[in-house]
Amino acid sequence: MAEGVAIFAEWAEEGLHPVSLELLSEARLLADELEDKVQAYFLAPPDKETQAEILIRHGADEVFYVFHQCFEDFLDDVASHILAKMIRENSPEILLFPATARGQALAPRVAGYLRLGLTAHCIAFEIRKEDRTLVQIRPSFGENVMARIISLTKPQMATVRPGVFSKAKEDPTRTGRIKKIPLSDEEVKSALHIFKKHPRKAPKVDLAQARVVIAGGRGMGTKEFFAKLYELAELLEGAVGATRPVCHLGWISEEHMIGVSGHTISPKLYLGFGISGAIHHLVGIRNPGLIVAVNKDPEAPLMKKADVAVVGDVREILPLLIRRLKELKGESHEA
Amino acid sequence: MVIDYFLSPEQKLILEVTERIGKEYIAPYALKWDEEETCDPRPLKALALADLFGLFIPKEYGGLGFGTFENCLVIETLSKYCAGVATTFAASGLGAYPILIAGHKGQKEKYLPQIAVGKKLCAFALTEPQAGSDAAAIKTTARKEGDYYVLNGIKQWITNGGVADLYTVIALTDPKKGARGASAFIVEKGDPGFVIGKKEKKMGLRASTTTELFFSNCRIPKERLLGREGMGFIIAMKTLDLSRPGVGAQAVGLAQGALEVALNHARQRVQFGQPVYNFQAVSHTFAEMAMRIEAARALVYSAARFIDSGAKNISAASAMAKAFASDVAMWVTERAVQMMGGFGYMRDFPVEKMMRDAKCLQIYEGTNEIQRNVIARELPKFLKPLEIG
Amino acid sequence: MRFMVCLKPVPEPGTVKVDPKTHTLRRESATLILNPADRYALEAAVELKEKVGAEVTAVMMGPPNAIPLLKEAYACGADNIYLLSDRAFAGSDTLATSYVLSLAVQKLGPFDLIFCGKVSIDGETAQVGPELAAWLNWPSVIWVKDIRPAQNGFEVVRLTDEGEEELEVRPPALFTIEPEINDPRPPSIKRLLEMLTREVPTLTAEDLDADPSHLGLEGSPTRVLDVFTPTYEEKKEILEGPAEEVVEKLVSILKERGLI
Repeated sequence: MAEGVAIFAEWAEEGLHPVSLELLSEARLLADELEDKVQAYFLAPPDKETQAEILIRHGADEVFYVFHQCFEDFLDDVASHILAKMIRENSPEILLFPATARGQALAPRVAGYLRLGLTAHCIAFEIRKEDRTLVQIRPSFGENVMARIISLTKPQMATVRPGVFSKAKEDPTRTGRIKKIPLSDEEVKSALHIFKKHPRKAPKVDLAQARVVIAGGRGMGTKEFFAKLYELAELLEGAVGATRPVCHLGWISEEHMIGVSGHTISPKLYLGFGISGAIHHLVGIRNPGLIVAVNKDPEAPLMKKADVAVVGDVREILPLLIRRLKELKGESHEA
Repeated sequence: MVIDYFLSPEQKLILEVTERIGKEYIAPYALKWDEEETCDPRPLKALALADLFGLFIPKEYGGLGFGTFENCLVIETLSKYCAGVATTFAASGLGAYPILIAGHKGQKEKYLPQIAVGKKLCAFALTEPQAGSDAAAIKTTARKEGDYYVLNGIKQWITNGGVADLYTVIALTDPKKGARGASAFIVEKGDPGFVIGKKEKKMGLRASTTTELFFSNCRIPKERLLGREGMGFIIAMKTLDLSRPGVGAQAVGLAQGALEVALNHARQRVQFGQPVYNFQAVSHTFAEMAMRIEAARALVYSAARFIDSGAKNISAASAMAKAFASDVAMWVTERAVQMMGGFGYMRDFPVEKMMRDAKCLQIYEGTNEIQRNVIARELPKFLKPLEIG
Repeated sequence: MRFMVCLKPVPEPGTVKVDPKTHTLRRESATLILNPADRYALEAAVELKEKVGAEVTAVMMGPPNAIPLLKEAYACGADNIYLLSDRAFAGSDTLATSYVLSLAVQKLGPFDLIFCGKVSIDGETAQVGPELAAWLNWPSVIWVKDIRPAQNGFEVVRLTDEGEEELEVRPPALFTIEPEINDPRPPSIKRLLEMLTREVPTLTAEDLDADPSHLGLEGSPTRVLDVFTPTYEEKKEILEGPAEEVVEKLVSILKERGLI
């Protein structure tokens, strides 16, 4: 009999990945609705029990702390083998992964080993009480609509982008069980050997944290004109984001993508230029302050969603806006 | 394209691949290359990998074995996206023609396969500081010394100068005979005494490179002579006859691009409460642009197919295609700027670049005035007295 | 060595229709293009082949009208091309799709490396690659941005959330490829002309000895229950008119809100 709402708690270089606490808060809600317990699978180096305790204080009832020195690195084959084995033994009802680099490498491998359904990049969940089914919500393929998806296999697996759920609150009084599982060297043999790591030099595009986000879509026309957004971003001290097609066109790297397989953002100000507003992009904008859209087509979905819809040609509006803001900056310097 | 030219499946396929290169490897960067005056190797590499540098090179030498017409289709399509890149491509073809026309088997076997795969880019060097329209006034000499020719002189405004690996150079082997003493040679990049001059600052076609070439006691093996001594001028004229429809095709593509950009703008730009395309002064201008482009295309295609039929008297047809189409391109691009008003004048939009690019097409590979000389000279050959009544 | 590349036909954005009952894509109705990310995977395989000497086999699961895309793959450097096509494959989710691909590996293999695109532009799950590796019980490395031959296999560089890592990988292995790895070439016209009259071999469920219970909708554990359109409340301000006025108005709104 399947039981438990489980998460994969990610070990990232020197600690818990913060997304683990976001998954915990959602897992807690789902478990409470099912009157079930929350489990966390935590693969980490030895002596990280204090980290496992953090998971308990943030809502986990049970932590499977699997430890071995090899977990200093992320080895796709080892991690997925171990995890698949444990899932098979414990058979939770629900299993959530973060859609991080590690989560996206791991979840499909586990699903493949166990022949399970897996839904990528969910943005919300509902519980169908009568049969304890997890209803997974994500933008539908090819349509400008949301889809409710279920899995006929258990555990019901899904991945969630960082930033979609808020972090669980810490409760220092919470207690739970930490099950420590040591691994032998035999169990962690890998076809992969990591021999060098290069931490990112420039800070990663921190769209998730940005106060102001300037985003551009295919309506920008060319890579060169798209680059004008950087100028505006500098003036507004914001980050530049983009829609998926723009990233595929090579106007900007995928690190800047907002939406389903990109970032989830919550800026005070979002300015979208030449973006029609496919749902795949819109789901990446959570709790924004002011949304401004500039587009020729007043019927575009983003124009509908926007607080301020500017009907016009981005090629006219953007250069004028940049000029005007520069003038303002000049004025304030003089003052 | 308003008229269907019933292209074969092979021609459609060539067109599709070229369109794709235009869209993916050229369009996003065309304004940048123009601004920065760079001849970017990336689109050239794409053209090479698509086998397009071998388009009209015979299959036995590793080419695709197509002709002038297919070459025109490709040049036209590239020009829609950037006439500068098209110039680099077409000028390489221009430089390769003399080898095709006059090279012996050994020379063809040595050079054509490398040209076909895009490993060696070509250039054609005829013009000199004092010999522009008056091409017969060239002064560059090639003196025979044993197994070598020694070249001395200056070539001017050579497209692909420095970018090309192979240069077909027209030089006098017998200066006393003037044009009849001219011969054609293959000069390779790196030959001793061959130096590339400074890059010219041009009005348009700025994604292509134009330089001077200096020859000071440039020694090349005598096997580099194309054809026989004294055939240089004939080879040069034949080369230009073959390549001029390409300039016409360039003009058609450029004009088509300007039409498409401006039409899109006019249908979306709202003034006085409606798209400006609704105003007759605007829509009739577009109708006129489209008519002239179709007429130019029909002439260019006909001339190209005429050449591919193996016809001999191609000079007039070739000159007509070049002069007519480039005059159309100049007119159309100027109107396109006008139809877009202030936007048309801004460098953020491509039509002002297209207008600058168009100007060169009326000038290079023989000015349009020279083309009219050619046409007028040839006309009597086609004339049968018509008697009525 | 032998490499396999997995290719996916995707509907050109804007041309797709969806089955109103199953909410799966009706691929036969759309204009198909090669999934953009897969072009980098193909190019990576072909470039590695040019470096170390190998044979590249491209496979694509899809309807017969996807055949031109396979021909394109041939023109971009694949040596062999196969279409995996059967009515029984219709409605497959990522698990069922990766199962069919794993059968193709068995049928056409052995392979040393499998290359997949990073993500498709229609499903956007990025799951098929690692799931295929799991069916085969092979190691997989996602987000690979460089591959070099090394003594005991290959050295690869992968992107991570923290930066980059260099790994030694013992084949057989599966990689999903980052777009920054290369600049995909256009198709060779010579090879496209060759393909004008050539038949492309197609493998059906029977050819692959597939277990019917793992195929198509039946073999897919995920189901779309229904779809809905999210609603947005209308609270907007619409700025229209001459650009100068519009920009002035926008700037004053931003000022009011303390955003500039």
